[in-house]
Amino acid sequence: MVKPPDPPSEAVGASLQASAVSPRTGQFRISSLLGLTPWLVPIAIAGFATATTDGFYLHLAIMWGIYSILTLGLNVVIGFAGLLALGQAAFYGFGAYASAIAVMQYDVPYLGALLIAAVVPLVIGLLLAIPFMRLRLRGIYLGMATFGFGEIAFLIFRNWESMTGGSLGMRAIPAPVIFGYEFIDQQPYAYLVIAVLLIVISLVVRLVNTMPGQVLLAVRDDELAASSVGIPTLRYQVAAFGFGAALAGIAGSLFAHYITYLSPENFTSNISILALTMLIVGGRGNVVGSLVGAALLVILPEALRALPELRILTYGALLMLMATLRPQGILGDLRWGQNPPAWTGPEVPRRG
Amino acid sequence: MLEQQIVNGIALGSVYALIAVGFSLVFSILEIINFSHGSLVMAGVYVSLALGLAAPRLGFFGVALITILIIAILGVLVERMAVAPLRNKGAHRALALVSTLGAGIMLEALAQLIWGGDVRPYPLSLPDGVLTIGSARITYTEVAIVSLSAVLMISLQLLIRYTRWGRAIRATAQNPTAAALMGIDLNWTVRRVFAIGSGLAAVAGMLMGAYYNYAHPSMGFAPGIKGFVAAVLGGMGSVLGAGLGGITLGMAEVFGGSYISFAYRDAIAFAILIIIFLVRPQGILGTLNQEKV
Repeated sequence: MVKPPDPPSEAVGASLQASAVSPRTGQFRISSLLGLTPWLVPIAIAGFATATTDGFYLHLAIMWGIYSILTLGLNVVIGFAGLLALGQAAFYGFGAYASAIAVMQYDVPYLGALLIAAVVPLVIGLLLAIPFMRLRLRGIYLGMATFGFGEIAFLIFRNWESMTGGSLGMRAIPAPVIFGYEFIDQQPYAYLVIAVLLIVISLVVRLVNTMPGQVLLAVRDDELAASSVGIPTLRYQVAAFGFGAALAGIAGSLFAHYITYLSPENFTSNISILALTMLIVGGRGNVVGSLVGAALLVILPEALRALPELRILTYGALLMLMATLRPQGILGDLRWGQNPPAWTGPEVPRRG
Repeated sequence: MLEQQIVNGIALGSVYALIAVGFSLVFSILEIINFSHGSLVMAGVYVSLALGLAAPRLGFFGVALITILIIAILGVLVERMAVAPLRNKGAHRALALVSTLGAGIMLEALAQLIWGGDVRPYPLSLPDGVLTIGSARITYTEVAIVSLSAVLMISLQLLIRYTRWGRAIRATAQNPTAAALMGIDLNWTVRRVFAIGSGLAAVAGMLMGAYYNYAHPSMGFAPGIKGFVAAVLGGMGSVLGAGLGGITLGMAEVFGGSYISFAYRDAIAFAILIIIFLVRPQGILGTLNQEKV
């Protein structure tokens, strides 16, 4: 059954405007200052981190920053490219281990290790995405395949003892040293994480507001129509998948050098599900949404600290209620690929 | 040794097959994946555990019947809460994966709230005894697992082939719109399918409980995923395929675990999943495309 392709949606360009100056008219408007929100949120958190000396709040700020980067990466894949990826923990783990191994076994300076933590998941992500995309694995098929990949990655972390230390994990991962400064205290670490987050936000916002990002949204909204006007859809989807993996790796590196101890248990499917919850709650395809979703799910467990059993229950309930009652999330937009809204058409992977 | 592994593989595979049927049936009419299916298996273990402790005089089959009923209702409840709202809204199908994942997490957390997070001994057991065929030792429990699964799968196949319910399910799987126009109540068909799949998940859970002799809130997760792999492997939408996929996966795990690498035993299912998706997405029997398109 081939549907006539919908005309490319004109709302694509309006989906995210993150500039105070309208790209169309070049005019400055007060209301378009709202477009600066993606940067204002981390700056506000940085201000908060300056004001407080309480280690607990600093810890929350750091974890928020790390999860925000992870969720933004997932947002690129799920929200902007419309590809359901359920194995993001794998890339988070590859980044974390790659960075820790680079620093500890090969004496790579931290900035180099951070780069490695982005490149290793990027390469793995591309190698994975190329066959998946070529064979038109989409929707739930892609979701289950990436989920399976996440589980395989977990087993690699647990069993490759010479590299990852197996289930004993890696201990005493050194704090990042950048230009001779050691980020060992929580406050500077929070600044480091937020600085990286600001760069990531700029990259993501820039991606969405420039041609490649707009093309990506068009591919998400209607793959068939996009390819019929000559867009190499596969290339864009593969690139988006790799970009998301690289961001997850960066988050993993920041996590590894903050926690200083890595265990395979840090990279189970639970973390993929957590990132997915953050994304769904905040809203797919919305940069601020990822920041808000990450904040909510970092604070929530602390708010429910007295009732630890209720925490998991709340995760589940949030995921289910958000998906059913407000599928677009708190801030997101509703679109997700060209799938026909009726629940009757076939969604069978086609041989490419 | 070899015979023993074949026996173990078939027993494990029968449980996977029972779980796979649930995925397969739901997929055949809604084209969604019910991620909470593994949690329903776990719920089957715990509900039967509670019943077995509260009313030991019911015996295995008395407990089993009540448990199946309860889990079937639970499955329908999951459909009502996590799937039906999306169906009514016409939201993207992939969201059902997310919402049922949430439902599954809730079920697991509830089990943990009610029965605690520790491993608990499973009170029900099947008759004791061992058969010896060649060098293989087959416990009566294994015999019961395989024969019960076979009987249930065959009955389900007959139900789908020869009854009005079965016809309604097949018609809906072929073309929901046309089926609805012919007077088939889509909602009821969906509910029945969820009830049947969940009931079989409950059986799988009880068999697992009796086989491993323990219960744990997260014990349904891995078998749930593997049941899905079995369903994909055999060909989604086919009872026979689910059986075939389950046995194949069970064998692959047992043999892979002993001849390739025990540490990566759990990776075998996922490796198979990815390879099947890449090489033959319609599964061994290829029923996906036959009835559709």
